[in-house]
Amino acid sequence: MEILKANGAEIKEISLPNIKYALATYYIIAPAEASSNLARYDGLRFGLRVDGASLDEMYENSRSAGFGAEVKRRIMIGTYVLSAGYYDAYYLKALNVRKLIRQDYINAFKEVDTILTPVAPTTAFTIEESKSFDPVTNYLQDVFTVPVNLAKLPAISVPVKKAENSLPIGMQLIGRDFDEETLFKSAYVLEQNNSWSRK
Amino acid sequence: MSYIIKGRTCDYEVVIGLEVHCQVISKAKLFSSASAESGGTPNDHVAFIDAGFPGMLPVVNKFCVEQAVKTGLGLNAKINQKSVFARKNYFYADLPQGYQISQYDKPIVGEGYLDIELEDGSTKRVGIERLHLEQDAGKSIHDMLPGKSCIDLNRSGVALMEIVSKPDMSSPYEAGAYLTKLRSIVRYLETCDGNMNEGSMRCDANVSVRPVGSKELRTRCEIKNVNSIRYLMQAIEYEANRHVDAYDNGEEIYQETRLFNANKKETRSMRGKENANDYRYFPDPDLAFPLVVSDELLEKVNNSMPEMPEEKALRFVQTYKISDDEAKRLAAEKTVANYFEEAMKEKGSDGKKTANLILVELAAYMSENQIENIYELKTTASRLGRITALVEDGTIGLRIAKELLPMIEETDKEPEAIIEEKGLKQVSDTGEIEKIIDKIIADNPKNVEEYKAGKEKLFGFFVGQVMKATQGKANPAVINKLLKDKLS
Repeated sequence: MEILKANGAEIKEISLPNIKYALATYYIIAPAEASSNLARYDGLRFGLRVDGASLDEMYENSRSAGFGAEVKRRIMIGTYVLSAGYYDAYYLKALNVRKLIRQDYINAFKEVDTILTPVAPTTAFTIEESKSFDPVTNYLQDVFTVPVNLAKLPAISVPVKKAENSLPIGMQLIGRDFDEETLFKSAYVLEQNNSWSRK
Repeated sequence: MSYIIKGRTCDYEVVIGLEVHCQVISKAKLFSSASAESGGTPNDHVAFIDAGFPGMLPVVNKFCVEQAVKTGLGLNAKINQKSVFARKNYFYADLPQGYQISQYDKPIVGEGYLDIELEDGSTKRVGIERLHLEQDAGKSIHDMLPGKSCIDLNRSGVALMEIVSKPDMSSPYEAGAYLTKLRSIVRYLETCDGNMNEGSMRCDANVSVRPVGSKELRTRCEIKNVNSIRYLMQAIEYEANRHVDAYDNGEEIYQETRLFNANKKETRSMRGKENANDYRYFPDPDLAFPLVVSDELLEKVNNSMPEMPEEKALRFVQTYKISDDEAKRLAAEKTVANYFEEAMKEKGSDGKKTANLILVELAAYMSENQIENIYELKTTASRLGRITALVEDGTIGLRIAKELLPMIEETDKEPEAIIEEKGLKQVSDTGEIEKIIDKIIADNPKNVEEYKAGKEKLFGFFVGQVMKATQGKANPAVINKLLKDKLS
């Protein structure tokens, strides 16, 4: 923030009231889309095929063997939220919240040109460390980046500092629709002037 | 004239709604540039997206959208200028994406109607619920390699219009008339070729029955894949009677999908409601923006609308001096209407006679020989037009004109040549006919006596005898006049 301020930026605090629903919304919409997008991996035309006694069994065998745990989890969640009787309560509601989240950003951009946030809520961890995380802890890592995807806005991450474990800490800049130019300019200033990239 | 099925405890009426899938006439598929032509070497026209390759994105074919709008206008329907593509998810071997891109709660065409003609000549309006665009699936072929099923993706991604009626029909006849009218409309508009035997038009029927006068809608069954209008009528008849029998016996009807067996003329259960797929419809994220039909596009399509059957029939009545009924029947099929007009371009041809020869003689010949398209006949429009002109100028009699048609079909010769060859010209020479009449009168003294005694019906007998003796070539007007003179 100091870097940007020193280079002529005016700092303003903003409020995005619906952002607290972003993670929940994302983890309904993304698995829903994934469950449908991944239906094509059925062992029939490409990818892994594990034979079975019937077409349905071949589907089950191929998909059970080919997908990892997280993918299966998302397919199951996605199939559930699109099912008859649950669609309105989950998927449709999530689509509506998504609109509110996007509106929050649009409102904010009436006051500011670009929004600065951390990339992640914690400093970077190693793959080893992440193996002990439960899925929700993993999902929470995306709390700052996921709302941007929901809002369909451009954003850029810039490493700015080194953490105690000597891995970089990143900051995220979010821009208006199609305003990548402002993002690149601001990101350049951040990159040129921080302690991590100057090393 | 209502269609009623007598049950043991009460009379039942039938409630029918139809879902018709029409393959859109278009060079390319709905979301890819691959050829939409049917048939061909299996898997020969398949774009990456038609095969469900990862990372491929659909781009809608504008022409298919125009075709859907055109059909909507032809069905007097509301065009939704904003509609949404949705995914219908299910697993099947011939569905490479694992979902079909269709339209769900926001179809491109909303409510409309079409008018059908009933058996007694009156008109009934049948409501259209909606028309939506969707992709066709591929085709599974089970008899190509022993023990294996093969998939042909040529049809995968071809544009379909699904046209859903309201449950407004109440007899097999009405359902048949609806389908006939719908086929006539899409053929007029050139948005679908309407060939049911080739599968480019497919029909599912929803059937239920209820006590006469009741407004309730009872449990319905869906009959799938009825591939001709005759089968549709048979399937509905069987299904409605099955419902009545069940209610008579105190049994329930379960909501299910049934298949029609054309040989046995019966329907059998394919899958019950409990096995129905949950299609998990949701707006296709790859087509996140609504499909917009702009004012300009709407106007363009509106301006391209051809003359429709009703207008054409009106014009025929005025231009060619034929009856309402003849005009309607000629206009019902675009090919027949075109054929008629072509025949009328021949110098001296006559509307009434041309219409009659088409609707009676040629229609009978076509149905006997299972000819679908009138343009396949050897009796071309030009030949038919010339024949009626020859009748008009007295060269041949109407009876000879009718007899000429099968001769042309057999030999593919010009009518004038056959007339010449076989000496079929009408005999109007009074002297020649007189000689024949004299002989007939002499040979049939008893009939002459009876006729003179007042049995006027016998006049026809004498006419017939003269015709027989002249092989139908004698001019009927001349015969009538001479006979009247001689017998009085």
